[in-house]
Amino acid sequence: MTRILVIARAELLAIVRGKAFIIGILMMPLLVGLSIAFQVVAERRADVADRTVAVIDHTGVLFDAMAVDADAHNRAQVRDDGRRTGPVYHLERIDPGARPVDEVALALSERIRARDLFAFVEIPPTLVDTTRTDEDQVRYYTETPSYTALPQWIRTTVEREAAVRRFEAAAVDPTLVERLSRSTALTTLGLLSRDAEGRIAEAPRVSALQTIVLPFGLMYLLFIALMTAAPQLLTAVVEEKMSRISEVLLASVSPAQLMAGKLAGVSAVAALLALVYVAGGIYLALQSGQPGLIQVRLLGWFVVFLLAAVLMFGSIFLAIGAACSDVKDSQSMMQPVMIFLLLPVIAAPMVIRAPDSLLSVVLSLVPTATPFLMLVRLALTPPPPLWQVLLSLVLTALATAGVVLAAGRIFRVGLLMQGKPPNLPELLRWIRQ
Amino acid sequence: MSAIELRAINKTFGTHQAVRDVSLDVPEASIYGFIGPNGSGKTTTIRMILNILVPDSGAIRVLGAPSGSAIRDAIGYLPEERGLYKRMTVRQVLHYYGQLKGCTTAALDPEIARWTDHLQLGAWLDARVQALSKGMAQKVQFLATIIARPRLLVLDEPFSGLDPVNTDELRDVVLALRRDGTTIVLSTHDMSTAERLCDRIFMIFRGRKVLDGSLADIHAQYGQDTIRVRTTGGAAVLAGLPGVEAVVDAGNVQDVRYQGDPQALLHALGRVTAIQHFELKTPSLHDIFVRIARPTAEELRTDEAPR
Repeated sequence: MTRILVIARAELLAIVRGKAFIIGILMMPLLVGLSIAFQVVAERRADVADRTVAVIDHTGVLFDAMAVDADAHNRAQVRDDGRRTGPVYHLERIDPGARPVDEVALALSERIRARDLFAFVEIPPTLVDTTRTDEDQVRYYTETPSYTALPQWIRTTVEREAAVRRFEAAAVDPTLVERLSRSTALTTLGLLSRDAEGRIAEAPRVSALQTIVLPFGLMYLLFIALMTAAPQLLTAVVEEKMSRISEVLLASVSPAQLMAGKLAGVSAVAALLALVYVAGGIYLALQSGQPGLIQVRLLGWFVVFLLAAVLMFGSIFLAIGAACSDVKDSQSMMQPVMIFLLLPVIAAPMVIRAPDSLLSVVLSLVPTATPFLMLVRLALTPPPPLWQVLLSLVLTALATAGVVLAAGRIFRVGLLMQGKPPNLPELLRWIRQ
Repeated sequence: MSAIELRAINKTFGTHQAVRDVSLDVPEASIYGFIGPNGSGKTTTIRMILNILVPDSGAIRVLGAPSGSAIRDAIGYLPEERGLYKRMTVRQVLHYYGQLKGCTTAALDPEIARWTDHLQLGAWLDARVQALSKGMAQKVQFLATIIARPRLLVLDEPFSGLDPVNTDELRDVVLALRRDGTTIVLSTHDMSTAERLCDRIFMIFRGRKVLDGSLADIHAQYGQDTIRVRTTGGAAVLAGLPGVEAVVDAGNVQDVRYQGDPQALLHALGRVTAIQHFELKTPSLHDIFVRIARPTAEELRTDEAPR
């Protein structure tokens, strides 16, 4: 046991003392913060240009209303201090007169190519008719179809103003229609219950943070802790094998002790990382007035699943490291493992949307995905049935034990092997030995 | 008592039998030379002694106990290809290897101070291994092997790559350890080192023991059947002379393995060339090694045959 602790301590210190770990542990929240800040700033600041749009209004009645709406839009894009926060739209009325519309459209296209215009729209004459059909479409011409803010604004504005005209044509008061068809807000609430004094307590409001951010956050935290710690085992073992340090170690401890020590060390690294981030998360939750995000029950599950994930994937990485004689070989053997690791991360949004669907239940019972997806389901309300949680724990424990055992056998044989990495039949033979 | 007892051990990997029926007794406080060509089963034998590999059959006792995890702490092992944790300091490396042998840091610190001082490494104790020269790193690895005061030391090419000063320094340490009662297994391809340092020599070839004994025993076994000659005719005139079994051409001189009366060879040689030097010679360990391990003409033909 003492030797296992000596190895675990050395592994822990080797990783923690490295600059990469210190930078990683600081960089992760910094990068997340920076990316959020960048997105906010980018959304506000990236598009503050003037966009001139030519409008061929065959209805003859919509342009003026659109110009008024554009003015209102443009005023909303300027802050009190004069700084612009969004794009400004300038509308230019185009009257084709006696000219063929194609000629006019071509001329406008040339102006767009010459950067004189950003886009032009052609509004069909029947758009304001009560008899209009689906064939009557607004045509938006641009050289930059990826820019969607302007066409969206045009579509909304034209539709609103045309609808007003259609209601007027049908002798219906548009303000009445607006009032009668105003959308109704929907508030998501939890369930009611009686309080200690027997009164019916108000249903709690469900926060988006709790339903989306918490499950995603916990899953990504587990993923980050696992991926920061476990792959280091692989590189460490390959390096030890290449430099024959593993032979010296095996003269001092058994392969099982060596593997146990390394797994314990890397589990400690993952736990340390998780501790730092969880503490940071708790601090942020308290600071932002969201104490409901702090759930001790979830933290307990998080520790259980983190341990299972580190043991399972750590053993696999150890086995790969032991089976390979250089880092290049190990990278190619890592790829199938990475698919197993990424699959639950990819499936997580689907599980969050429908946590009790058959696919979500099945996926969260697959041992390689359980640590991530069962954790996600546990963070949602209602939590999964207890039998599913217990079944997932049993399956994960059995799978982890099997993986550790098989990896241990590959580790024992592979550490002394040199040359080309083994193929699958050879690996299976090592496991059976 | 023997420090190492091997009794008819065998080890097979797949279809290749690496070690065949090898038995050996290594006396305590001796330096036992392990020699043999690459791939002859030497490393496999060492790994079985170290309990890294388990023999398919036969028995191994090390330091009076059946080979196993119980006596691991009493064995120090320096493999041929060296490697240390580059980002650790010298002190951390020595602590780590010592602790893996069951020593506490409190017990290790005086030993570390004594040995690093002895090998002029004291100033580098808190330097990272990656900052050391190759020779210094090699000395650190040697120290890591002996820092837990093992009773049995297995050294695989301990002097390779060292300059003469460092070689002498480590050799003196090896001899001092032997004087203090440590048993040393010295695996080497350097026959002159084996001749100078080892009390006894064990040679393994194609998995079988082919030599085992003191140098005197081995020399007696191979006798004075080698004659060193220098003639104006060179190696060409020696081939075909009666009694000549093999000629090793070293350029200016030739070593002739000869069966029969050396006087007869002297007369025969005198008839075909001018003799400048004629010396009856005891074969060196190098000669004996080469004689055993050199491929036979039959094997050479097989190797050169198109596949």
